[in-house]
Amino acid sequence: MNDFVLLLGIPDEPPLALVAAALQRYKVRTLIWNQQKVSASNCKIQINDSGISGTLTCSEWIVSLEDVIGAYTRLASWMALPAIKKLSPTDPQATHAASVHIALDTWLEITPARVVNRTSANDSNNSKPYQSLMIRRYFYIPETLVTNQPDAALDFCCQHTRTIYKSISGERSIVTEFNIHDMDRLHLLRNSPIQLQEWISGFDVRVHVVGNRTFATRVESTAVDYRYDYSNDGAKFTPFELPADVEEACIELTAEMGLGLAGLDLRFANDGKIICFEVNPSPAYSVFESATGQPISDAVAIYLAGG
Amino acid sequence: MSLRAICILCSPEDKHALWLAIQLRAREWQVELIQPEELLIRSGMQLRITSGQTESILHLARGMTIDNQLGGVINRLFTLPPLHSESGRQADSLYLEEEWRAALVAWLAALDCPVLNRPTGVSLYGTTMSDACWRYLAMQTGLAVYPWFTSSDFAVAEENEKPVQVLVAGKHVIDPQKILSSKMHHKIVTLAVISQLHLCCVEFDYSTGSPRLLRLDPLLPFAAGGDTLVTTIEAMLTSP
Repeated sequence: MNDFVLLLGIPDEPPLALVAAALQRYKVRTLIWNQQKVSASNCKIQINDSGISGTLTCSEWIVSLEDVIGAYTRLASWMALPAIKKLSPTDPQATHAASVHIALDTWLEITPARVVNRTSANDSNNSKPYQSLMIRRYFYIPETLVTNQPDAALDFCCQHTRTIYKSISGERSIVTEFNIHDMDRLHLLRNSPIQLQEWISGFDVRVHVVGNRTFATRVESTAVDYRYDYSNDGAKFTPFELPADVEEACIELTAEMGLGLAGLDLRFANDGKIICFEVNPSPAYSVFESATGQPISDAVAIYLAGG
Repeated sequence: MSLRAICILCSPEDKHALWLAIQLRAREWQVELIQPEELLIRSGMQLRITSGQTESILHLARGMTIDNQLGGVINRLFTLPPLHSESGRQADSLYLEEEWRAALVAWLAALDCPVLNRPTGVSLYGTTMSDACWRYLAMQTGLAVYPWFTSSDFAVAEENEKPVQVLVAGKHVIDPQKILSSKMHHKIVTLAVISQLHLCCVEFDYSTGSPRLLRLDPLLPFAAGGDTLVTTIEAMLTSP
């Protein structure tokens, strides 16, 4: 197969399935590599003077990776795959799964094809305050304290009417408001630092950037973190028109991070400032597309096909 | 701390860091060697980031304070010690380690002074890549490399000979064996610059008489660079 788009992941996972459907609508040749079939797959890569080449094989097909024009990866951790999780790390099936994923990661990192997104472009998401240092070149950021000192944390909370805390790394990233009950747990900070941020009053806008296109969605929720809004009505999503300068900043920041697709969490503050909390390099945009009808998956498909 | 005061973040077994500390002290630098454990255990970190300002203070249990007055950091913090959560659950311990790594990455990235090397979002001590990626990047800069295959049965001559090492510090290449051309030096500097590494060691195979890049490591064996390397590092620590 020549000039095709390769999708990597679990076929019925919504973001991947929506892009697959869009590619089909646009009649773009597409192959989906089902990560759950890793045991029946193989990936061989070689780098030599003519560049990078290789093959990806599964039980149904074999393809040359040089023919890939775009790749969308929604690969989960291979160690978490049900068929692999139960095995010992030295089991031949587990080591095979590891080698296939290492080969794919290597190819994704190097291939001249458009990749959404390369692993290296996701790096900044692994340290939120590190990412904030990049974001603040384009947007306001909330006042932030990273500390393992209970007194400093308490001082910070006293300086602000409301304070939230969240993880520093990309793990267990749930935003929680600091309250009086947390005072009893402050001593635990001596074991592990925390990230505190001033609460910003305003409304949330999630911006999905795909290449040089943007899709902005206003989010209304009473929850501190709208992703975990368990109220009867849940979070409400409506399309939102971005000011031109904000749209430009979203596109430039995404490009600077080397991302083809990103989800930017903005808050339009009551004082008129536009704050950016973080840039998600692997956004589950499908929730927003389903709620608003914004053609995000179409844009991803067009981007992968070179448009 | 003064502008002539620097920290070297390194493991206790890091003889290269110790060598550099001795050399710099002999040149009247105040050098503190700081071990990874000191950053985590009974330390006090405050990193404040706002839209226009960054303030950082790190108190160590030995009474030392690292703040924005620091003159520079030589960062060889390639790993953190394993941490154990109070719950005893492995997942919680791994989370604890991730949180500390992410905090230290931000702390190092936010320091005003020269940090050699700056961290990336995932790597405390600077850009790291697989050998395959280094080789591909090297090819892009015009350096010769050995072919790389995923298949493990591909036996290469490259490991049979002791590799040739050259050290990169900023835009200077220290080539102790003086076997690479100035054109090669230029390509090596280009590779280091696009990799965002101020300091790195590049290894070449020279067994066939024409050098081929094998790998790149952000951790330098400083002694191999001698006085020239120390002088270059001094200049990098004092340049704005």
